[in-house]
Formats: sequence, structure tokens, C-alpha cells
Amino acid sequence: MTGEAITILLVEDDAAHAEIVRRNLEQSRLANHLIHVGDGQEALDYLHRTDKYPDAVRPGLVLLDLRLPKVDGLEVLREIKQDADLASIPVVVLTTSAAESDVAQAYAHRANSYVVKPVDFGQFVDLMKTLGYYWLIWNRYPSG
Amino acid sequence: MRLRTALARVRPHTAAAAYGVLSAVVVVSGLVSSARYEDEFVSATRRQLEATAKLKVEGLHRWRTERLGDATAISRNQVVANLVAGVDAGGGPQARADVQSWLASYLAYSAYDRVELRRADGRLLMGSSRPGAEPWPDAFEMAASAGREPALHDLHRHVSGVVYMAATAPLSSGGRSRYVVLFRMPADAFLYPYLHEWATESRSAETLLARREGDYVRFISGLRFGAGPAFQSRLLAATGNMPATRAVQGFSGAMDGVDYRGHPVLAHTLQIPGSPWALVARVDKAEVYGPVRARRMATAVLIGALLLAGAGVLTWVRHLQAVALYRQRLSGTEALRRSEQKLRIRNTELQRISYTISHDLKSPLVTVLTFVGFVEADIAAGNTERVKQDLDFIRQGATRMSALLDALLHFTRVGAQAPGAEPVVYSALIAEVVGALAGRIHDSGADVRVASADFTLYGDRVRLGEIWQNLIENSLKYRGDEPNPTVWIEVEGYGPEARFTVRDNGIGVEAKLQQKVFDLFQKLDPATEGTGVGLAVVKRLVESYGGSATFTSEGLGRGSEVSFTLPMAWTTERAADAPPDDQGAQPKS
Repeated sequence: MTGEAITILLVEDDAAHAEIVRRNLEQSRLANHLIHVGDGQEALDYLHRTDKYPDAVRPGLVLLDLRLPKVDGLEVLREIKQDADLASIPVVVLTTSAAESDVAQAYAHRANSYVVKPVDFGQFVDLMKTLGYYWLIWNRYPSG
Repeated sequence: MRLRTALARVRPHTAAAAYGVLSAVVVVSGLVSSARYEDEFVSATRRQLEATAKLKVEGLHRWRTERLGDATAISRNQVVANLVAGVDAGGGPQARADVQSWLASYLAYSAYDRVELRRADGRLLMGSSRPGAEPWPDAFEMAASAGREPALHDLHRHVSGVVYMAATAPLSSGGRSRYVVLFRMPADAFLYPYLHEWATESRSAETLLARREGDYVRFISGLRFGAGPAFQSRLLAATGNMPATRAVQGFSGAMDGVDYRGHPVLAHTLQIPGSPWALVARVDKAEVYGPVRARRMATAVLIGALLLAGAGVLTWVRHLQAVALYRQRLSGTEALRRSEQKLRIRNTELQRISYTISHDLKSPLVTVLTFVGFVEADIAAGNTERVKQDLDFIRQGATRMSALLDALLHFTRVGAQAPGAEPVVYSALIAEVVGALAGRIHDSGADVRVASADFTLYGDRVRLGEIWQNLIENSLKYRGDEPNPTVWIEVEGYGPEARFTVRDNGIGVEAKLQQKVFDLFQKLDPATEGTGVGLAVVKRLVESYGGSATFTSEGLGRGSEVSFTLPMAWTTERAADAPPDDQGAQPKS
């Protein structure tokens, strides 16, 4: 299983949490291209290649915090999954809440995975590996 | 309303029992009253019949006595007898004329229609009669058979149909009767009219005379409902329970019977003294009982109406009770529904707070815990540069958590009951708040314009002040890059409906985010300072005083406006020397 260069879009308003994710990914060596945006609106701008991101690279994975300023995580998730072009991008929901309603809503909006913070180092590596298989398959057989 | 309330409390079986008793009382008293009325009415009728009968008998008796008296007076008068004897012996024309005029005088002054002077053998000497009077064929026989005493000849019917009464007055001369004076009077002249008079109007009442003729009863006066005049009818004396037959058999007094038509009657019978006459005063029972029946009917209708009215009242009472019960249930249900709703709102609020806490408080904790792990790893790896960075993140996380906890504590406290309540003069309060923020107002370069308004609020001074403080702080914080940031503090309306407004020309909020502005820890811009608790606190404070807050903004870059009501506010009299509107309470410094 050989990984290809993949762009990961991290949607996270908390700088510390973004740093945590960045360091974990760094350790897992599965990704070498992390794009970090601070709120939901910016995430959508990136995905739709609007505003500041006319030349955005299509991400192979979205790491999405649920509680975001302006447009919250569930809305971003819904937009991604309702958009025919974006729906195939795997989305991992990152949240501090283990509330059942959040989990249920995330899956209802067709999140691919759900991770409750804090994610410890090993847990993050496992998650990345699992997802690694997943997006590697997608990247090998690119969909339209 | 009081009666309705009282009635509504009456228990159903009490009401039914009361109705039952009332009905029984009404029915019984109706029956008693009806029976008493019947008794009284019938006995009054009987008294009237008796009185009428007695009156008639008295009149008839007097009349007969007078007729006999006329005869007796002549019979006893020797002068008349001598005068008549003289005329009979061929006395002068003067004597004859005197007798003639004497006889005629009876016609002039009484109701006789024919007076005759005859010899005791019956032969006519002279006579006088009213014009058109019927001839008197019986007179000869009557004179011839007259005894020595004056006498009345009972009612008899002339061939012409006229009924007469007659009297004979023998004139004695020289110890024997030689002449007879005969008087004849038609019954129609006095007797029958007198008999047929009735004191009160009646459809069926009448008085009649009867006498016994062998086995028969002869009606000797005209019958009101008879087929013909007097003497036309006679009945077998033994016929049933008839007043006339009982009367001629000698019965005097009140009786119920059947009249000559076969109709049931009430009657009173009496004998006329010294005569063969019996008098019957009678009235149809139908006439007597007619009013009784009408009265009975009226009573029945009245009773029915009363019972219906009672039933109506009972139904009404039941209706009131049902309404009261329904209202009670409804108000119970309503109260329950309201408290449920309140509870639901409170519950939702609580859920939202706990959700917020789990997200926002946990977030810095995650940071701290994770970076503690990184510190360990970095120390182990000898990466001291990164350790410093790690510790910075840890400090930031802990600081943030501390700030959030303070804000949360503050937020939960403002929702609790206000510690003190006192009248707070609005203008003084705003001046205080603006004064307290003077430094930050200065730093931001904002112009705070306070419109003067004469209001008095009622509540805790510090908490009320906090409402405006939070709003003004927000306006300053979100002024954006507006070159002339301005905050307007205004009041619109009057009394408890007044709306208090804090408006600015700052960055505003786009429409889809406006619904979130009052949420706890919601910050529109993560870059700004603060915990995102300000507007949540404002909302909670306003609601704790029974008011409601709304946020409006025309959109991004177009300013914001928060307005709210405080129902315990009241307008105070504007002082005569009050300063004009739009005066800058705290001028831009």
C-alpha cells in the first residue's frame, strides 16, 4: 500500500486543535499537504473554489470540526454531501462532544467517520490508516 | 355573577331534589286552589240561585196579596154595594156614569185590562176594558160561581194564548151577595217580566213557575229554552230528578237535577205561600262549571309553566355547573400546559447550555491534555524549541478555560432572581454606564449619543446597568473599520410598552447568522476578544425582568440594533426644565 500525495482540508477554528491535528498527521506520514481554514464559510469557499481560493486543490479528505463560527460543521457537512462533485470526498468529523445527538446528526449527514477529541496519538494513527485505505482507493481510480 | 357562582356550586342531586319538592308544592297547591275555587264558585252560584228564588217568591207573594187586596177592599165596601144596587134598580144616569168611571179608574191606575160588574147569577151589568183587550168568556161562569169571599183565580190560558190572572170581589147587600166585580190582568203585564228578570247576565239561568195538575207538572210561565209560551209544556209529575217536579211535590231548597231539556242544572226551589205555585230558579251546570273548567285549565297551564320554568332553571343550573366544571378543567389544563411549556423552554435552554459547556469548555481542556502529551514526547525527543511552543498552547488553553468558566458562572447568576429591586431613573443609569465605559469609549473613538427620556425602571441597579453595558461594549467591539463609530441609545414608546434600543453603525451581522447572536459562547468573529457571552447575558437579564430582546441588522457592514422591552418601566413626568432630545450625555472624548 503506497500513499500518494494527498491534500487534507482541516476545518478548525481553534488554533491549538489545528496544531494537534497537524502534528498527528506529521507523525503518521500519510499526508504531506494540510490546508487549514478557520471557519465553515471559509471551508465552503475552498471547496467551491470561490473567494480567496480560485485555484484550490480538491481535498482527498476533510477533517471537520463541528462547532464553528459563522457556518457550523453540520452545515458544511450537508453542503459537501449534497454537492454531486464533493459528495465523494470522505469527511471525518472531529468534535469535543460525545453527545449522542451530535453523533447521530453527523452520521445522518453522511459523515464518513466521527472522532471525539482528545484523540490520542495512537488513536489518530489508526484512524488515519483506516481512512488511508479508503482515500487511496479513491485516488487510484479517480472519479469524475 | 354572584348568584351564578352560587348556583354553579349547587350539587346536581340537591338541585333535582329542590326541583322535585318545588314541583310537588306547585301541583298540590294548584289542585287545592282549583278545588277551593270550584267549591267557592259553585256555592256562590247556589247562594245566588237561593237569593233570586227568595226575592222572586217575595215579589210574587206581594203581588198576589195586592191583587187579593184590591178585591177585598171592594168586597168590604158597603157604599159601593149600595151604589151598584141602586144602579141595577134603574137609578139615574148619573149614578150609572159614576159606577162606570169608578170601574174605568182601575184600568187607569193598575195593570188590569178588563174590569166587569156582574150580577151574582153571572149576567153582565157593565164593564170597562183597555182598547184591544181580549173578550172574557169565562167571566160569566166565574161570577156565577163566586162565593161570598173575594178570591184569586189562578193563571189560566185564554183561547188567544194570553195568560191571565183574575180576581173576584163579591158585593154583599142585605146579607147576601148580589153582585160580583171581576178583575182580569194579563200575566205579561207584570208577572212574567218580573219572573224573567235576572240580576246578573247569564247564558242559561231562569226562574219559572210550575203547578201540579193531577199527575202532571204544568209550567205556568214561559220557558227560556221551551218550545213555546207558558202552559204549552207539562211533564209527568213522577219524572225523574227534575227541580220542577220536586218543587210541585213540595220540596224547597237547593238541588242538583236535570231540567226540562234534559240538561244537568243547579236549582233552588221554593213554594209561593197561599198559592199552588212552585218556583224554580235554575242555571245550567255547564255555565257554572265553565269558568271552573277554564280556571282549572288555567291552573293546569300555570302549573305546567311553573314546572317547565323549574326544569328550565334546573337545566340552567346544570349548564352553569357544566360550564364551571369545564372552565375549571380548562384552567387546570391551561395552567398545566403553560407550566409544561415553561419547563420545556427551560429544559431546552438547559440542554443548550450543557451542550455548549461540553463543547466550549472541553475544547481548551483537550488542548491542555494533548499538549501535555506533546511536551512529554518533545522532551523525550530533546526538542526544546517545541516544548516552549507546547507550553504556550497549554497556557492559552488554561486561560481560555478560566475565562469561559467565569463567563458561564456570570451567565448562570444573571438568570437567577435579582438580589435587589428599587426604582432606577433611566437617564441616571445610562449616564453611570457610559461613565464607567468612558475609557473604552475613548480608546475606540466612538461617539455615544444618548437621547433623553424620562423613564423610571424597577429592578437591580447593577444588573439593569449591565444590559446597556454589554450592548455598548458590543457596539464598540464590533465597530469594524468605521471611521466615525457611533452608538445611539434611545427609547421609543410609552410606559411598559416602551422599547429600549442600542444601535450602532458597526460591522452588523448577515441575515442567516442573526438567529445565533443570543446563543451562549457564540462569537461572530473568532478573532475578537471575549467569550461570546455578552448578548446571551443581555437576553437573560431582559427576560428575567419579563421583557424580550430582539436583534436586527441590515446585513454585514450595516450596523446592528438590539432593542428590548422592560415591562416594569414607567414614564415619569417630564420636568419643565428638562433638556432637549438628542443631547450627548457623554460627549465623545
